[in-house]
Amino acid sequence: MGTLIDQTLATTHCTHCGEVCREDQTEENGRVFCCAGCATVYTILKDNNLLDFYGMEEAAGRRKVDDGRDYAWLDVPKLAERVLRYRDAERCHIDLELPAIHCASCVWLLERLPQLLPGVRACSVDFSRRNAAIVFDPRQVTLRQVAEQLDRIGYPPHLRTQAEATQQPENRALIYRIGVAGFCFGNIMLLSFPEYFGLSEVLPSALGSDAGAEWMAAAMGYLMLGLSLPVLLYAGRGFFSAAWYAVTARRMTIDVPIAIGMVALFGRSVYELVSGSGPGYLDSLAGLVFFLLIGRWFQSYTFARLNFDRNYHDYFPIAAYRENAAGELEAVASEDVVAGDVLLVRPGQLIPADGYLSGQVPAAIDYSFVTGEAVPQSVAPHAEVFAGGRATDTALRMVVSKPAEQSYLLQLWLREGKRQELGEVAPPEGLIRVFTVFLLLLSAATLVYWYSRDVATAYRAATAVLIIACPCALALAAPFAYGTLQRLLAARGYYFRGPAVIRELANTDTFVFDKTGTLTGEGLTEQLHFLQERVAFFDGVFLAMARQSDHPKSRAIRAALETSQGKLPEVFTAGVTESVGQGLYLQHEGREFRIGTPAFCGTGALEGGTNATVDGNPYFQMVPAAVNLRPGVGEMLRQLGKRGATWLLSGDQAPVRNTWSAYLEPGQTLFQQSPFDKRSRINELQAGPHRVLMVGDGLNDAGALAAASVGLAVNDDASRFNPACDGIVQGEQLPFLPEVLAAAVRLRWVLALTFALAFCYNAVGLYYAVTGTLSPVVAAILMPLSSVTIVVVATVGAWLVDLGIHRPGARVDPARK
Amino acid sequence: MKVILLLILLSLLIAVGFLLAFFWAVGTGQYDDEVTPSIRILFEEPKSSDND
Repeated sequence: MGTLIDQTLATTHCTHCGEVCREDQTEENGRVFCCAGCATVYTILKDNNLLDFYGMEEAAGRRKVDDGRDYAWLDVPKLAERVLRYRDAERCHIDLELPAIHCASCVWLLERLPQLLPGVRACSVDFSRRNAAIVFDPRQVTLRQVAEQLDRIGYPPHLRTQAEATQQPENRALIYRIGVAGFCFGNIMLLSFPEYFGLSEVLPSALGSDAGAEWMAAAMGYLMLGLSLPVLLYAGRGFFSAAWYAVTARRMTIDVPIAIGMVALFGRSVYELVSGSGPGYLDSLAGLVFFLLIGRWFQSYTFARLNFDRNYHDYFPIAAYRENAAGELEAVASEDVVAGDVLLVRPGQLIPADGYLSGQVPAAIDYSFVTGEAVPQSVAPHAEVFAGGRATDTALRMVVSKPAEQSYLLQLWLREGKRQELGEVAPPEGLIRVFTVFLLLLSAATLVYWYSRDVATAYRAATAVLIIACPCALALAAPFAYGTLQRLLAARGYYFRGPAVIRELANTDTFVFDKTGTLTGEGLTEQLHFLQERVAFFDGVFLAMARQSDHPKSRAIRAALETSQGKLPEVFTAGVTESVGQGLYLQHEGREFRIGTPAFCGTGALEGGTNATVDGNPYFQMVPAAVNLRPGVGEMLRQLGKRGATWLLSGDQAPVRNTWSAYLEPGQTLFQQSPFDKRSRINELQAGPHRVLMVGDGLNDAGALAAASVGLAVNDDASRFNPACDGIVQGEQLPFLPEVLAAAVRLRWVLALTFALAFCYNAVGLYYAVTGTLSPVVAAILMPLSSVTIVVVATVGAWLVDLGIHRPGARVDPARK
Repeated sequence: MKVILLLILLSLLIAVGFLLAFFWAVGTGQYDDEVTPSIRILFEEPKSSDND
């Protein structure tokens, strides 16, 4: 229906990507495309009989964007080898990250790559990781051709060296352990059934003799013992080694009481079985290990698509283009670039090392990701350029002075080292200490009390205390509560690295924000501040002048004038003269128009920035755009202000008027902050002592994100690069941050409730234990029952806390599946 | 009645077989990607036989 109406209304949608076509649409064989890129993909698919691609999903294609990717360096064997997983003479294996994968059609198309490109043997896509494992025959096709073909059909590969390719944390060992524990738990329970149903009393009569029943019980008992050995020695070994490690380090972790409980359970059971005095508690032992391992697995959940551990290698290109002695370009590894090399950086490419421009042309370099400065900087010939900047319009030639490893801007990342691990969520150490000490004392007291009365009961009661009070509930509550909330928040666009981050989030009391890309979205970064009455004719002339220059400032003026209200008169101008690094000059209809530096315009009185003058009188001045806030961010800042000190650290120049004072304390908005300033500010606040939540987005925030208690990266597109952090927030979901913080705090009440429940269970169990009346059946019921209640309460509690987040947060990107 | 023990041992043997099958499934990476196979199964087989 939609397409029919659209066609009659003459707005057409691209056959490939489904976007509305603008004037520059192209037509081929009666089909309309929004751009040449989409038409190319269509043609490739058509020539290979792969048009089913469009039948499967609406708007299956992705608009092709060209931004200076090039794969020529893959022809250099030494460089290609670094990205290949395996190679021999007949076949090469490579894992490629393809961020553009977004729907089922992508999987279909990519897995038909062998049809599109002869020589490719197989292509297998991992949808959730946006990854394709490709096998190709190097005698028929080169790696470069594979990469270029993928790019041509709209899936530009993100190439990583194999050493850096993120090794997915393999959890297989844990899964094997859970399998063994579950297997043994189930079978031991099955063998315990006669005991559960009181059959041991009935059995003698059924078997006709006491001796037969005894023999049977003993046989079952030793079978159970045999089954419990793998649980103790394999599945549960981790708890013993962790407890031993904690004890030798003179620390107290949850593993210590768990290990004590396991030893008590096993020892007691072996004694009972060997002495024939009872069936033991081996089912409880296996159940305990099984539940604890499941809790551990629940905690280790990861978002396959997201990478929280990016380092600068992921951002930097693998290869650079160097001019050799003969003046020819050759591809070399970025690490092999040394001082004195002459490099060529094409538009859209990153500068791989520090150095200075050679040649006579100035260059505009976009440092926004590295420094947070939103506006591209114009760099004069022979001036310094820094690694991490992006060449914008023109290719630039540079002489290297320092390789990337020693680069000024990257020191921040390199010095930082690894982020400290937030680890697992465990109950507070103090609580475990009290619990363990109390447990041991109670056990000893029970032993002493009974010893004078009945030695057998004394040992039984003392071990029963250790068995029943095993901190299963304590160990399970936090992982399930925080783990559940972690998954639920992911549906709201908040992805946390682990459950522990959410716990830490509840403790934060100081909030620090980066500006560009974090609080402000995409859009104009500078605006014009008019110093006199606007004249449409003047505006027209300045627009015409700005159109004739490709300087970033000119483009900003162009954008600002083009979006201003009213249509500007078309002015025909000729003879604009550009003084490099100074400005533009034009004589038109007897007036002098100038755009440029204050010195160039003769407006020394006006401070900084770019000015425009008419006959020497100031007309307008460029100022950083007031605030192009993401919607809802203002209210968010106000709410956070009530919770704790809220700071803004921006890499930009200070605005003429500080519009942030509506939301933030004036003393807490700082501008012109270098990445180093940001980090030291965070360290200062943390020494305060405050717990800082840092929200940022770029490389320039990497140091601050790592220094803060919790570092949250804002990202508008999950496949985009983000610095190392504890969590990732979708840009449009940022306004709900106060709600998420409140939810993290509220979850503490859920935990308190589960601890109270665990206390009740323990009190009942300990009563039976101390009085020496704990039977294996009671233990077998009470222990799993307490574990299951705790897990259910923690999960439901986290779910309710999530429901408490205000409705708007629920409308998470319907567009993205 | 003691024959029940034989039955228990036999059933355990079968269960161990399933446990080993589970190990094999995990070990060969069948649980590594839980999404893509569910997409892949819905694709039509190509009608022409030129696809090897």
